[in-house]
Amino acid sequence: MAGPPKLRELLAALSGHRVEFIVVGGVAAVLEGVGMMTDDLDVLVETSEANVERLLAALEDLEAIYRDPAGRSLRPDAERLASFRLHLLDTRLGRLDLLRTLKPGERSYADLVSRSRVYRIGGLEIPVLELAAVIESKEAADRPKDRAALPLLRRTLEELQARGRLPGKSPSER
Amino acid sequence: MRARPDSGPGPRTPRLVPGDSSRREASGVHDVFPPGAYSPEGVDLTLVDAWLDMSPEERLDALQEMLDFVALARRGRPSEAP
Repeated sequence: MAGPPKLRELLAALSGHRVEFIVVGGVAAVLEGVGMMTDDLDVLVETSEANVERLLAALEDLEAIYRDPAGRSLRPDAERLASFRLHLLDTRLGRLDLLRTLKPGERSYADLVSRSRVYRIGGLEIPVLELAAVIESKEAADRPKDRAALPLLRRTLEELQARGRLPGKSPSER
Repeated sequence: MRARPDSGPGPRTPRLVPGDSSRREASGVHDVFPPGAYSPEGVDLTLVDAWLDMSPEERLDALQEMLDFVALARRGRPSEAP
């Protein structure tokens, strides 16, 4: 079983292969300013043929396999990536979760790229889902851990709005 | 005379006033947190401020430190590993 995600290295691996993605979930919330713990790096991927090809090259570099309770060593391929909404992977740099759509409304990369901000991290430009959209996704997922996190997420968004600053660059500024 | 709601058989309990530490101490209640440290929902507002004052890179590194610490703590307890 893979250890915790090496966040910078995983983001660098995806960016290095020019994969189009948006960081979503808990890591997006942290980058937006929320002081919370999260175990996974969740990324929403663009699903064109060309991007899936780049993604598969990155996943091969990362020695990615599915987290399989039965212990099988299943590697992601184009067919599997096209078949499921969520892919829970172990890599040599820790856990990585890929999503093709995000709740609510099963929104795709194309639907959400306008609601992402780009952060410059270690020389890389990393698109990150804005906090308001992260909150919407947590509300829709409605798992116990999402419900527990929501007061902190909402309060942080209120603080950001009160301070009149929302961090990062909008996609139009890239 | 009507009894005050906070009166009773023992010494009268002073009414608590936010920010009034002398009355709080007189009541025997010691609030170790300054007024406004938490939101009504229980959110630690000091923590919110601290994270918003950090850069995104610093936040990512702080999360990585927490992840590594938890992994280290779980190493001796495999049943708790995610």
